[in-house]
Amino acid sequence: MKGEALKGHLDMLLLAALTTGAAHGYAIITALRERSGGTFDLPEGTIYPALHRLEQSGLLWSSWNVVGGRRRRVYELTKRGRTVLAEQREAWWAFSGAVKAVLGSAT
Amino acid sequence: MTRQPGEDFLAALAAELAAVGISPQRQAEICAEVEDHLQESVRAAQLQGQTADAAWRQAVARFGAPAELARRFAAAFEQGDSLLNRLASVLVRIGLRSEIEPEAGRVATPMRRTPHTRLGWLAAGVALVLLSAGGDFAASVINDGLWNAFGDELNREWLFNVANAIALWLITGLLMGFGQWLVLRRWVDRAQWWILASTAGWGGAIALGITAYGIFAAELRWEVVGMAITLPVVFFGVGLFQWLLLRRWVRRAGWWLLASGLSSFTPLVLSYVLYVVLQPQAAERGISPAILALDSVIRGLFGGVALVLLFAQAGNPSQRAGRAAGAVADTAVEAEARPRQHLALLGYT
Repeated sequence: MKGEALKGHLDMLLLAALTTGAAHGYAIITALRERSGGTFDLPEGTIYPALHRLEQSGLLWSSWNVVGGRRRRVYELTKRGRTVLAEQREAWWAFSGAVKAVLGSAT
Repeated sequence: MTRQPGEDFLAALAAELAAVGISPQRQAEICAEVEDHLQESVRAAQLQGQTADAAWRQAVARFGAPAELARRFAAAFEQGDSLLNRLASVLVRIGLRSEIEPEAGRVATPMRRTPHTRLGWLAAGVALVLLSAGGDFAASVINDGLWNAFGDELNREWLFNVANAIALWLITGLLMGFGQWLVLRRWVDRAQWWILASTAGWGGAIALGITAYGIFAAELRWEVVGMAITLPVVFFGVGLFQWLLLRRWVRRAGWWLLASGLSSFTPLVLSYVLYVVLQPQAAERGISPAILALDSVIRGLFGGVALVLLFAQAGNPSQRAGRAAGAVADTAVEAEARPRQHLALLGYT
């Protein structure tokens, strides 16, 4: 259960990090860390396999370019990826709202 | 000669990726991606005052052990790989293992330089149209020569007509594919497979279409069924193998099926209208070179314009990436401010 929850949230965070446009892995990791105030400082060994998995699943699309003489892989949301993100976001809001309600009534 | 820091890690990663059965092409892509990340991490750390050695050690450490990383990649591909992706991989991978050097971590990756300006795309489009049309026209001329050389005595034989049609489409696919490859090789690695895919698509589609028609049209009452099966098979079959390749290079590659179908059918319809409807007597004199050229231009236009539009909309995402970096808006992260406890519960460390 713990593993499933981890995977589900990681996917949502990665998809959400790409809502504003294309980004490469380094930018995605940096964005997650900065936007979360350092909380989501996720290791590269977790992020890159997850990005590849999301691409294989059709939620992301990647392409290559040359930047500063180096080849760079850049990820973007697919249409299906946006749909899945919207569903996951809605579920998260419902879940977090319910947790808040329970925790709030317990104090 | 001293090894660049990180090369040991990349070499170990490539070896571990191979050990878990990841294809050479994917090994190359992953290593290129990891290397880019390492370089950028080190540069950023050095800007913050770290020594090069410390920066490299930290950057490498964040990836974890190569064996574990390789295992995660293998698991990721197992979970997400679709049948179509596997088909495309097989198509691209056949015979290419010798080109890959996993230890180097610097092997070719799919996308090369594409034009950066509208003028560049326009020039590429013109080149693609002309080269495609040239290939098609050359195929028509060659086929015309074959017909003249061998057709007089046998042109009433059904088998000869079939063989001639297949030869024409095979040569058309080969030469159009070759013309398009002259441009595509600047944009993508291993573009030579485009020629094979084009030849197989054009030749295979007409062969399959004729076979399907032959089966059903043997009984006259099934002729309509034969046509109903043959036409879509040919229409979509022409670009099928190229579509499998394009899916790896661009988004919305499905439009290629429509473009290549139109490319194959529009000249046929045009010829039908010109010779059967408007000038039946002209058909006996054969198709004029002017009409052949017009057919070729039409085919070139469909193929060339479609390729430019598909690759242009893929664009250069890394340029857009700069705007996106650091800007993660409207996310679940915002929805739940600072969910540190939640993250810890989930096991992120």
